This record gives sequence, structure tokens and C-alpha cells, in this order.
Amino acid sequence: MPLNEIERHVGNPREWQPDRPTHNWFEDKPTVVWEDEYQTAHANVVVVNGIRYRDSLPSNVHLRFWYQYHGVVTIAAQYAATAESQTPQHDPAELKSEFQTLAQLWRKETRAVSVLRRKILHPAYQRIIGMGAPAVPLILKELSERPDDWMWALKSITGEDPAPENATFDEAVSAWISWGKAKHLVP
Amino acid sequence: MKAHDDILEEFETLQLSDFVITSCASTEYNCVSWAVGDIGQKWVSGAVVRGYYWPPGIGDDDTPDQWAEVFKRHGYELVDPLDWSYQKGFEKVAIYADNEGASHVARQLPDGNWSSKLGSLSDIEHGTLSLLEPRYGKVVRILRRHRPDWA
Repeated sequence: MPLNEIERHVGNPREWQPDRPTHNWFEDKPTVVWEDEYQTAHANVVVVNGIRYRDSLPSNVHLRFWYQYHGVVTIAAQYAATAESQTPQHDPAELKSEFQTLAQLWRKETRAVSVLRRKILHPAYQRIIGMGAPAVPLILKELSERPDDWMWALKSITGEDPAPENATFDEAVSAWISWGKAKHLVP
Repeated sequence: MKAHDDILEEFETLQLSDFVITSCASTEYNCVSWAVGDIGQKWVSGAVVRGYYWPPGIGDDDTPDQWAEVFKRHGYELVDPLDWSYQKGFEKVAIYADNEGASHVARQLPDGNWSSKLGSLSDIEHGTLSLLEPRYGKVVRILRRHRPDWA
């Protein structure tokens, strides 16, 4: 689907402002019909878990999130990988500093929020997801020091979910830390 | 005092004398877990990653009715019209909502006060429901269940 067709449904994602109130983000979200059309109408596709998807959507965090929000996490991961390959390498110190600033902002601005989807829709959280794979060790370190709702970001970026089915929050945190250790992403 | 300061910062109309902190801050459970009485799990809807719990068969759009359904499964019934006054022999929960949907739930204590888990902050006891309304919207559902031991 050409970008202008996407924009007809969702507006221009590149112009969505990071500070736009979250309750307005998806008021014009694509319909299920739109998504079905989207998945089937294009030859230039990737296959994820046996399902064919087009691989050239703009690597916009919000648009990727829209898919993630609707449960198509593998797609989000695919786009994250694409975005990563297209993103210039960051200076590690700069990345760490940016991550810490965003994580602190997210913690502060969502500390009284109980609804998970509101927390993960926060622009700072979305920007962290948008950092892609280089942010994973930083998220894992944060998760081990201050357990919080980081599992969604980790799954979005990596496409994995190492926690056992029916895991409690604590068990899921532990599973992610173990996963990170096994992959030498955290000490 | 950091816990108090965090709460006062977040709930601008709240005064120090309006609430008592009853737990440490925690991200391991949320207000629904607390109101249901299951702080071993974080009760959130719509999670596509493991580590959260939401009762099967209940919608995941965070509407007040969906949250009310959670409590109906725990023996609560809707109180209509809204009545948050203390009734001997009954335990009540109050669901708040704003223009994005359900946002918070508080449960009543045997002395008529209310108990709330504030997001990732502490649990608090507060005298009235309206104290949290500027932050969480309005109370839109009240449910109650019989508690013979509270008679």
C-alpha cells in the first residue's frame, strides 16, 4: 500500500507529534478491513510465522506500535529490525544517556497510571522502543534494577517472550533477566 | 517523605492530612490486583506479553463495564444509582473512568474508608472517593458484595 494510501487512513505518521495526547493517537486508526486489505494486496512481502506481510512500511514508531497494539507483535519486531538496519549507529554513551532521560521521564509521568496500555503509549516509552536492538541491554539493566513494565518493549524489539505461560509479573521479569544473561546482554 | 511527595505531586488537590500510606511503592501489582485481593499478579487487560493476568472471557478495552465484570466474578453486584456510602455488612469497590476508559479502582474498608493502589506508587487509605477524582476522572461504577463478617 503506498504511503499516501496509509495516510488517507491514519494521517501522516511522520507528522504525529510526540506530545500529542495519547487518547487522540488512534482516533483515526486503520480499520480491520484496512489491515486485511493491506496484508493481502501487495506482492512485496515478508513471511513472519507463516503469514505474509509487506516489508516496506515506514519505520515509524507509532505505526509500528499500532500493529503491536493489535497483537501483531511479530510485525512490530520485523519493523524494528528494519528500522535498526536503516538507523545510523549511535554513540553508546549518547544512547545510554538518551535512554536514561526517557526512562526517567516515563517513570515519572506514568507513576500513578494503572492501565498498562496507557503506560506503553507514553511517547518516551515509544521512543525507547524506537531505539531498537541497541536499547535492549539498557532496558534489561533497568528491569533488573527497577522492575517495571518493560516486557512489552522487550518483546516488541526482540520478537521474543521468554517468560513461561501464566507467569506472574515477577516471574516474567526474572525470565527476561535470565534471557539477557544467556545472550550476554547483561552481566 | 519521598513517597508522600510523589503522591502529593501527582494528586495536586490532595493534602497530607487526606491520606495515609499503607505500603511501599510497587510495580508488581496494580489497583485492580489490590481491589480484587490478588497482589501476586498484575491484573491488566490487553497485554500481548507474558507476566500479566486478565480473566479469560472479559473484554480488554478497559471499559468501566469490563472492569465491573471482573468484580462481578468475585461476588460483587452493581449498585445503581451510585451509592458509595458505607453500608454495614457490605464491601464496596468504586471504579473511576475518564475519557479514555476505566482508570482506577478503590475498595472500601470495614471502617468506611477507602483503600487505593496508586499506579506504581504506594497503597493509601483515603476518606473519600472524590479526593482522587481530579486525577482519575469520575467514579462511574459502584459494586458491592455481602460481607457477613463486616456486620
